[in-house]
Amino acid sequence: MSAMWTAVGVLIATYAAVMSEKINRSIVALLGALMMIVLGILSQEQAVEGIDFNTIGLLIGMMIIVSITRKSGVFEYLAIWSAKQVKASPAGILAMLAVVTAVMSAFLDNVTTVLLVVPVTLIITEQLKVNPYPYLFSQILASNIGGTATLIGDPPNILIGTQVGLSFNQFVVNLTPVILIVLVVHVLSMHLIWGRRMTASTEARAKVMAFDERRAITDHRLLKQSLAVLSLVIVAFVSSRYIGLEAGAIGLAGAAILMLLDNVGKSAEHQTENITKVFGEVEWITIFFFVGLFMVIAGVEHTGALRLLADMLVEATGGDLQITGLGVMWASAVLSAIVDNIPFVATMIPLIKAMAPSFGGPDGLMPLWWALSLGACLGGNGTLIGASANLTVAGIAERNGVPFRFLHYTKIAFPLMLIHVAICHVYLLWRFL
Amino acid sequence: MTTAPVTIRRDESVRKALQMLLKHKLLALPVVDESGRYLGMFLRSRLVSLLLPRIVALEQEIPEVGRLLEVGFMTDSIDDAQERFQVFADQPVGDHVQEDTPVLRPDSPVMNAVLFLYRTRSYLPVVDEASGKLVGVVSTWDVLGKIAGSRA
Repeated sequence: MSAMWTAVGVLIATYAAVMSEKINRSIVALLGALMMIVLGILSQEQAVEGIDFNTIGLLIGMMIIVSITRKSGVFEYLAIWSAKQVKASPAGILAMLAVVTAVMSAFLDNVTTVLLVVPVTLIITEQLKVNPYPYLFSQILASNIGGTATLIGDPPNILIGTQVGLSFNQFVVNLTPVILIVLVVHVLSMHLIWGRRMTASTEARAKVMAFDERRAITDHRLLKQSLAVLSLVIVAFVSSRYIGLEAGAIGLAGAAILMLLDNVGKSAEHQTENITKVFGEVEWITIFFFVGLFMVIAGVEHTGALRLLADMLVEATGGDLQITGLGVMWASAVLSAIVDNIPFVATMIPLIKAMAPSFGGPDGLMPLWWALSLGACLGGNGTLIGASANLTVAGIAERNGVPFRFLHYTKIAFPLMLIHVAICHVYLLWRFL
Repeated sequence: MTTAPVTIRRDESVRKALQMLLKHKLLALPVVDESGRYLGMFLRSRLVSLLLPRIVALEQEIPEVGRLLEVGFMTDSIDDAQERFQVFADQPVGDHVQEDTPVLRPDSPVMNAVLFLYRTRSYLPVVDEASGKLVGVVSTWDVLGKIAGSRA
């Protein structure tokens, strides 16, 4: 019993320290993990077993693939091309860039997506002489919405998919339909709030129309290589059941192949320089945050605290799947708007797993995984601190002279987030509960 | 060291700074306040950055900002760049001062001056610590001139 309280104490202290943002979250998570070992709750072997290679491998693999792919300029190409498809009309670009952001974010990490789209957006809005705020606001929401659509789109989904052993296709079949609806609603609401009143002069629009998106492609060879590898990786994800590979192996294999193609035939020094740069772009803060967090949660799980909590939750909902499912989604949404959704989801996963006996085994838990994903991913839109993409965009915008205020953002984003979750509520009831 | 170097007051315009840089073929201008206290440098590269879309100029200054690979897709002419510059032309140089460039003291070691000249590829203000006043500037030419002189 005392071990349980110690472990829970470490978990709470870790979360509190992460939320305070006084110390970098990767340091906090690693210290928490170390506490679990030093206090004798886990042996080193048990702690290491808690680290899910599947999650870590997929995260690192995708980060490497994206960091190489972006060097080709393909993402800038996509953004400019889409703006020209709507004849550079401000309202059209607002909608198009939201869709592009959502689609990119379904396959790339959300923060990476906004780091790629936002600079192009700011150039376009500067040329059009329109206020960039609506565009950036819309892209924050679109990145979190799009990320929810696939297993690889958003860290909570990567966690759920890899830890529970759900396939890429299961995410596409169960989540993508409702995300498409949410995206349409998002695009329409952006149009109603801002788009329909936006105008730009003919000369300004002509300047954007004169953009030559083909010039954004800086490396045609790399473009072909990275698109080939990216397609290969997606095909492997889709057929993972048949080829017997898990997401972590696929992600890392894709990364290794792309690095090989990008370096083959180059001198040894050139290769070293190249690879050092690529590894440097892996977000080690996120990786070590996950590593530490996994060990902290393994400690809590080991003492049986999560099973106890799961039993209490099941009892509270009377073992009703519908109430539990909707409860998980709404609680995840509201909590994710306020706290980091990664530790929250990482804790919820073993908690929900422990509920399996009450809902007729692991298959009975399926609706809960979708509820958790939808709530945790979409909830991140609620406030400016809800997801890392939000803070990233706000940071760039501020420095570019576009103030992003917490309350001003939340006033519009939180109600929109509630609408999105309400759509998912109906969807869950209709499809699963 | 060059004493009584060309300086610009913080309330003078960016346009004036451009003219002075062109006229004296300088890499940077020390910016001073009304009483001659040193505030920072106005760099030639700052002028170049004003010709670019704002986000592109920012990414040089702030590494974590999303990077564009290039802006070759923009078909702007030099007239468009000039138009972009006009927005800033009448602003005071005080708004565009680079404050974190290296500063020398009258008693700074020569090797530090050489190192900073190498790193900044600009020229260095020499500031009196007590009064904060600009005493002079050290340029690469000052150093290279001395080297050439010693060989001659």
